[in-house]
Amino acid sequence: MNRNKIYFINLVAALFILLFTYTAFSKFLDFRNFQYTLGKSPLVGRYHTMIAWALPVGELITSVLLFMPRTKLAGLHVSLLLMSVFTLYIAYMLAFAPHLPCSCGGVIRWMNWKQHLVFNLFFTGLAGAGIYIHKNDSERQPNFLLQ
Amino acid sequence: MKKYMLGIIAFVLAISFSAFTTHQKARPGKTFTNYYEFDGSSNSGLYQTGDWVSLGTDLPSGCGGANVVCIVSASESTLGAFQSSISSAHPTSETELDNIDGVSIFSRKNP
Repeated sequence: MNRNKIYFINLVAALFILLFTYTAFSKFLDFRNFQYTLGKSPLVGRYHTMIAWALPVGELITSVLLFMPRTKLAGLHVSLLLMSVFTLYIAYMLAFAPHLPCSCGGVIRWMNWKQHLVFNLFFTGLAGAGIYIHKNDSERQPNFLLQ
Repeated sequence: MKKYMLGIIAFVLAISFSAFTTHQKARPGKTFTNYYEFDGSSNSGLYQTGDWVSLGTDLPSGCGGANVVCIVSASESTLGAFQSSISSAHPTSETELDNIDGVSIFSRKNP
């Protein structure tokens, strides 16, 4: 049972590493475009330069947290926080500015807002499930991910 | 080492995927402030210069309707110059429109 849980948490962490690293690199490779699109957002447009740097850097830091066994739980918490913020942002855009393009990185930018909302809700749930299982097992067996 | 394996695979896949993702061309900086709206009903008619309307330099409020290109931002400052670009490039799809120098799709109807 424990082995399956460890595998599940590692799989969730790997999926987030894949997602965050891919979108962060895509944002850096297409930085001017990303910054430009972000600047058109009614919600964050004023701070688009700062956010354009902070977002991919934050995603890469989160990936490193998820990679290291000792910081995996912290990484999952940050992932949950990031995905919740992204999901709220998408819900806002869907409600108030659905005509604007997504400022996401890579192929994710080609999803429409509704597909993106479902995608984000799935990953938010995945982060929540990972945290729940990690906390449940680490209470009984501290450092179980370090085995 | 085994416990790092999934993470290493994820990093390698992510970097490989991002390297092979094609990106839209970058938008030039502050000169990129003119918006043009397409009033046609289908992307196959994007080349029809008469269906393009100038919106000026203000951020457009939005559009609704069919699933076609709605607004583009372009480096040309006048409708005439923009229509001339459209006329010579003769775009019949979103991709062809986006490939025109200085033109980028800003928003679509029903995104």
